[in-house]
Amino acid sequence: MNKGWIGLVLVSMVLMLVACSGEASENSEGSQESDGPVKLSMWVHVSEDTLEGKAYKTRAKAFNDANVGKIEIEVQYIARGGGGTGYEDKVNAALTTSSLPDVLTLDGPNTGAYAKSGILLDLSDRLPEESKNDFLNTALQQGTYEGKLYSLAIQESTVAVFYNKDMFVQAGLCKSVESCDQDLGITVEDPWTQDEFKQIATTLKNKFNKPAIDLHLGSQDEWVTFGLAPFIWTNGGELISEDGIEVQGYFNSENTAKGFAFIQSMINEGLSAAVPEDNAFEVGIYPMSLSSAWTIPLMKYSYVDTVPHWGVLPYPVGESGKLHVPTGSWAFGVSESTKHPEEAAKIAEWMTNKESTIMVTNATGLLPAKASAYAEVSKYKEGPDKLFMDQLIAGGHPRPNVFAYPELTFSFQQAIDRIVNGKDVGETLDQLTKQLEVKLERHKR
Amino acid sequence: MNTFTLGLIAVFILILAVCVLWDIRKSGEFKFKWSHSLAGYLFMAPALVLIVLFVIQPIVLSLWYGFTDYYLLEPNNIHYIGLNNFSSLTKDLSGQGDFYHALKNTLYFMLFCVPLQIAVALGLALLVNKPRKGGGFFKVAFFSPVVMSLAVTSFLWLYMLRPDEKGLINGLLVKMGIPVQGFFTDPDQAMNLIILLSAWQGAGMQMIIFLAGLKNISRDLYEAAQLDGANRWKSFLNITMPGLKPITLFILITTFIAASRLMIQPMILTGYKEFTVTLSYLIYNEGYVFKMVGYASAIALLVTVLIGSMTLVQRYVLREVD
Amino acid sequence: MKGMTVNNKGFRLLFIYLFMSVLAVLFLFPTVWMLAASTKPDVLIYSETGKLSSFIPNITDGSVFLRNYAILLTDYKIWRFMLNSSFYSAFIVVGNIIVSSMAGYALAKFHFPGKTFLLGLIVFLIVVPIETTIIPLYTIVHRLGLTGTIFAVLIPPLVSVFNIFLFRQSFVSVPRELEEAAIMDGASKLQVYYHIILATSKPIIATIATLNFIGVWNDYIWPIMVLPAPSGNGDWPLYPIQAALNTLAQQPMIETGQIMAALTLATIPLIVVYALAQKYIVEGFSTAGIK
Repeated sequence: MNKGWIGLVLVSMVLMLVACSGEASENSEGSQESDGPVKLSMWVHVSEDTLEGKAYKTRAKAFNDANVGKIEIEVQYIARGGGGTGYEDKVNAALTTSSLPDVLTLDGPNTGAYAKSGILLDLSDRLPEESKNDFLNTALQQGTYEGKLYSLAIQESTVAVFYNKDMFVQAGLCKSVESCDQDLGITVEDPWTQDEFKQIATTLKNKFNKPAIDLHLGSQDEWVTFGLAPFIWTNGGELISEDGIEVQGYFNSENTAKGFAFIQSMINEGLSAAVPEDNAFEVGIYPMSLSSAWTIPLMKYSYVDTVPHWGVLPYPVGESGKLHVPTGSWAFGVSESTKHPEEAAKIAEWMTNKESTIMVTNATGLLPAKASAYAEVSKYKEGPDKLFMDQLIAGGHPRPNVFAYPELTFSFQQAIDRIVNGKDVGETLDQLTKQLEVKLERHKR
Repeated sequence: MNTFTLGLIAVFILILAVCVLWDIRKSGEFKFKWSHSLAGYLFMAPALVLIVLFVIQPIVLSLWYGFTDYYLLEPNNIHYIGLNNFSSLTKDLSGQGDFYHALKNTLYFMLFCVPLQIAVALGLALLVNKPRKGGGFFKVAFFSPVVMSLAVTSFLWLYMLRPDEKGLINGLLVKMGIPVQGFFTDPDQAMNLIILLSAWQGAGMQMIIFLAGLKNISRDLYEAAQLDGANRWKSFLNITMPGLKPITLFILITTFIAASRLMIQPMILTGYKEFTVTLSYLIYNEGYVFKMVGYASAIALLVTVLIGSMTLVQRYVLREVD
Repeated sequence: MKGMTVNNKGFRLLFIYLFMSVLAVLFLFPTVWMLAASTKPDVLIYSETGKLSSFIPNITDGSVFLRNYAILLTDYKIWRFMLNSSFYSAFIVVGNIIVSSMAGYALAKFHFPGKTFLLGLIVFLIVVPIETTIIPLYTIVHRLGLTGTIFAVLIPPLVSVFNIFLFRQSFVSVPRELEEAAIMDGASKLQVYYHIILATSKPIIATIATLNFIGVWNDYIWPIMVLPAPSGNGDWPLYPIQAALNTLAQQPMIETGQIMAALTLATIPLIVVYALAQKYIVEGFSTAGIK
């Protein structure tokens, strides 16, 4: 019997010991061993076996090889799961304990919030001028908060209209699949207006008795803001004031309402669907799809049978007469708390230099954020990749770089959801503006 | 170990000591035996250590956050702001904002899902309780949604309940001359569907607790009743029901609490909508998406008080059963 | 007359089986679909969506039948994560059952000062919503120096107020005479706990263990937060299967069929444990033979 009691007491004591032994092992990440190289930790948001993960791995290894005995990066690959779980949870958790890695990746629109909270190191003066100037303007804008550069874009991304040439020929919109691009004559320099876009869509809808374009309205994530906000901008609308404090008179301005009204009219007239069929464009049911560059490899390799002839058209232009397309992807940042800012900045720069950019964009199918990489890769000189790149340079409009971006994009998604389900545009925007104001109020402290 | 943890342990021991002294004073003729009491404490000890460290400590911190402006990105910049969070919640409530909808939806869900799920679970348990050929198969079948990935079940239900004629159910309805239904996109249907699906997915869990309860009812009682000429229905009313009472109270309270935490189903099936958002979903959204931990913790605190008092009322009302 | 009762009984039985079968279809269809999809290439899965054949495994083409599983086991070495999960779950469930049942025993069978407070505390703690406590819990576990080690996954879940309460409710109804008889025979409290309380409560232990196992096996948010991500330098990874699945689903080259195969592999242990426990609940009762 006594043995049992002793066991019990022992178990409790061990638990107590475990509990009390804390704080002994403080975070050793980023520490320097007496003689060896400076060791830095880096977190990336994809898993290691992905093409993108492999690209980071290769580039990190190249960095280590180039800096033997001086700097060594150790990469952790933390995949993002559904709904932002995984990577973001891990970053948030590390934030609360000040145990962020030296270098980390972040989604471009997070730059504002992270910079405002002092999580990211100001890289403005830690980067060679020529490296800074090599970034495309849109990438610099996305990484800049209140005049300082905080995050370096890994790549760029934008949206265009994919179209099914065979269906366009059948609808009499162009003579043959070979001449379709010329017949339409819609280019980045001379894009189509919303009205022309609607006209063509109506012809297609009447011909095939199906919605003309998949706007991917079924997805309830960042796509909605990324893909559809240009309709607001191109009508002269805004979502939020530049300083990120005011939404009244921006989110519900007359011009903003015009953009939303246009999207609503697309649904009301049956030109697009609130709940589109799965892969409707890819399998040849809808003649058009608003999508990002990641669709290019899919069309080339996975859907050759269902849509053999396809092309890409620029984003339609609204009342402002100016082309607006979304931009932005993930970026590298340096943690403010790093013990080795010099070396960490060097790594961030390396991971976004020309060679890294080329390797990563090759893996993801997205666009380079560096002019030198753009100049060197031949695929951006012709075909769909060229159109994407031209659009980005001509009309790239980064999403608002404000600290309350999560609230803003949430309200935008709610607005789209309500107006495509038939709610009055003006009323919806006024309502959401009010709610958004309450949320912004909470940031004042 | 930091001062907060030490302080918490000290406070905990103090409260415990006060309660101990109180009990001893009150005990009157029914005195405590020291060796007996000591044994009781020792049996509790491992659990208590773990509870204080890993359950109470985070809860106390979270309750404290409810009175602060904790913003997830600035953990070193937390200020006490008194009742500000709560006053903005009352404002939200009167202005029919997010909190109002979340509260309304959660109460609606609990009101209908809890009885439905318990009834389904009891029905299933009674069906499979009697040893029959192939009974094991049915036990596994009815339990399987509990262990299925929500991603798989949601994918299939969403496909079957698509809001256009491509959907399996809508396709059938259209053939029968009934117009296309909105299902998860329809504000009037979405929450009811979530109730049905949650009961479907979760009933297996309560079924096995009911089964454990049924096994505890002695077979002799049934045999005696049969000898007395009682029919099935009578034995169910007079033996099964009373026999299941203690376990039913437990199931009621746990299902009730689980229902108050509904989050994943609306998240996957409808996304954040005014007509399906629940309290837990709102807490998640405010705390993790908007990173307003202080405000989210204030909501959690209110929910705790609300659900806690409702649970106590249930316990009180059903006390004679315990 | 007699023939009719038999007939009636037969109809009854037929009806019950028919009814149960309809229910079984309603409850099993996602599982069947998952199993079927796990044996198919993606082209087939999508071309069959909405058709009855999507619920039938791909038996016609033997060459691809187990291809998804082969890829998972060789390319992704998914068995390593399964082993991790088995170890974590076994450790936590056994530990949790011991810790929680001891506490439940104390609260059910001992008369000591402060008991009302502790019982009230347990009930209160069950009610508190846990959504907001995960961040403070992380801070605490980090302060204890456990983040990045498997102890962060193993130690906090060793206690569950829910299980303590469930054990307490169950132990209350163990007849006092049994305990007293054992004590008369000179048994210690610990022996009573082991030989009387636990021995007569096998069904409830099996039930709680099953529920606990499901919860532990399916958790992925916490393990991802506290464990280092698989590093790929050949070291044995620390992720449990659900955390690895969360990662796997994000792979751009992954096929739906492979995800379904992985989900199947992750679900099988749950079904097996449940089926075994079910059997045990019945046996446990017949051997205990009380009440």
